[in-house]
Amino acid sequence: MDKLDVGEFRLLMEESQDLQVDAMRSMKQPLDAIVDLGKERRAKRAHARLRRVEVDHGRRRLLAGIGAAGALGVTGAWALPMSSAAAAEDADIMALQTAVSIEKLAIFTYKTALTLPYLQTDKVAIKTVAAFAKMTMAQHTEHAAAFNARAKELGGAEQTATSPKYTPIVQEMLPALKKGGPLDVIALAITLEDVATSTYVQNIQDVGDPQVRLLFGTVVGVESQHLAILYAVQALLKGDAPELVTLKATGDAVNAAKLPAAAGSVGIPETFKKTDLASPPEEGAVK
Amino acid sequence: MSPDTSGEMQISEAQLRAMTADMVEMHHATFPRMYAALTDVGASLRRQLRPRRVPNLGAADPARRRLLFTGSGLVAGSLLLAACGDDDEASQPAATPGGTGTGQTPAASEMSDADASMLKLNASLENLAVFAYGAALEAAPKGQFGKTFPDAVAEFAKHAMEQHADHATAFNAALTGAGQQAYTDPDPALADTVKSMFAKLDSVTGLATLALTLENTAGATYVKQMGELASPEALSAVATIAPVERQHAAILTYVLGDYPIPDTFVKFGETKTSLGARPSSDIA
Repeated sequence: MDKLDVGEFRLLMEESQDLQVDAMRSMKQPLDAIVDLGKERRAKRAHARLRRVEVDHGRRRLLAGIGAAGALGVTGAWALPMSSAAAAEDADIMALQTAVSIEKLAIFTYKTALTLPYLQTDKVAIKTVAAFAKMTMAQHTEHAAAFNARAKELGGAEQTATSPKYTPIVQEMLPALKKGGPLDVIALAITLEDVATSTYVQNIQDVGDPQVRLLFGTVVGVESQHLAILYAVQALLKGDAPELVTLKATGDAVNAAKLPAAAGSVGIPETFKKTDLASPPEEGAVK
Repeated sequence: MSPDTSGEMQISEAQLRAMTADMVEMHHATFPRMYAALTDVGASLRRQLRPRRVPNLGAADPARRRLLFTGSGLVAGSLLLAACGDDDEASQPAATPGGTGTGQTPAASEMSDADASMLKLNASLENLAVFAYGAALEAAPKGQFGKTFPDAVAEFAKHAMEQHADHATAFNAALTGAGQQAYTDPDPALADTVKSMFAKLDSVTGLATLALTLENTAGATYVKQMGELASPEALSAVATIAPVERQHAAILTYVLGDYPIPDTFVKFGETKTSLGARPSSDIA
């Protein structure tokens, strides 16, 4: 990746690091509040009653996931009788752990992609794609850390593994990826970003803890942007317009007048984010 | 509008069109699903809580959906007229929040007041975005943003405006599904400022920056609400809509030449391109 460490890219990364520090700083207060709020709420009996109501009204999907996992004998203590409130909280933890497993697979994928020879050239489009991969990998790292922090705060274990469902698929694709080109990397990244976005959108509707919902929300707003840019870059590369894959930091600002009309809409194909690819909460839970 | 005819475009429009041929289909696939879910959940809640109550037949009526669309168009139209009119006309509120566009029916009590207020705020932000994009598409051919208006920017404005109109309809469906009235006015706390800013725009860059500010503001508002809303239909709405507003912002940032995903987490406070998460008091 030496060729990416040129002046302008360093500037981009420095700016990005600043932005990330700012973002993490801005997240610290909410995360601290999450910790305090969680302790306070769990200490109150009213909390358990509230959680039972939530379970009755909106938790069928998550609890069904727990039931399925318990029936398969993979959740150990979860198979034992538990209160609805405890089950609900465990469901939130599982959702967070599954999210971490998706983030970690994304990190692995981008990290692997950045070692591929065809992402090492000085062409502006390649520099831009590589810069995107590097930035996105860093953002996914922060997301995984935030999800793990919340899971641990709720009493769960830290997830250190990649998604059990998608990891074999990615590994199977690696040989073809090495022989392929940037479009192959982008296609794989689109799938992973869509899985992440879809999962978090669904989780926002299912998890019981408002602070966990908020955390998923602050992350999904970023994953969805990864997805949009990947769609746009994919279209431009497929349309043989690599010169339009450029930023101020990697070459020059894109000339909007040269962009084809369809570039204005190709990145945002869904009016409402669908969740067909959403991973169920137990999929990547710590066993 | 003067399409770019420089001949320098090296990408095949047909190629891109082919690649995105399913976009309209996806839109038509997601909108009815979302709309039905919102109205159905609202109706389901009403049945559970008030089994003897007469259902709100209008909420699930396709004709009502058309009416809501028309409402959004009227909002855009009235604001556009105000924005393009003389100073005296522009100084008058284009719409009257709290008038025809707001209010609570006597029987509506299933959804908390807080949730209803947030949904109304969201509808108002969508209405404001519809106005902004609609006004831009009207003003571009008159040369307000320069001699030429990039095709991609025009396409984006049209696409985003349609999506925002659908978002407004969805938020209003959640409201009417819970027995509340739809909110068809733009955010009254922001409308005059946006109109004033819009009138001063003279470049595509300026227009994109204003649009980016509206997108980031809406995104921040909806994400912040995810930790506050209680009703399932309201949560479904913000969960599925907020990512789309964020995508609008990413594309706009790319067009402006900057790194399109600068934040690792959605920020709620004010930034250079966001007014920050808006409070429900905007529409009080």
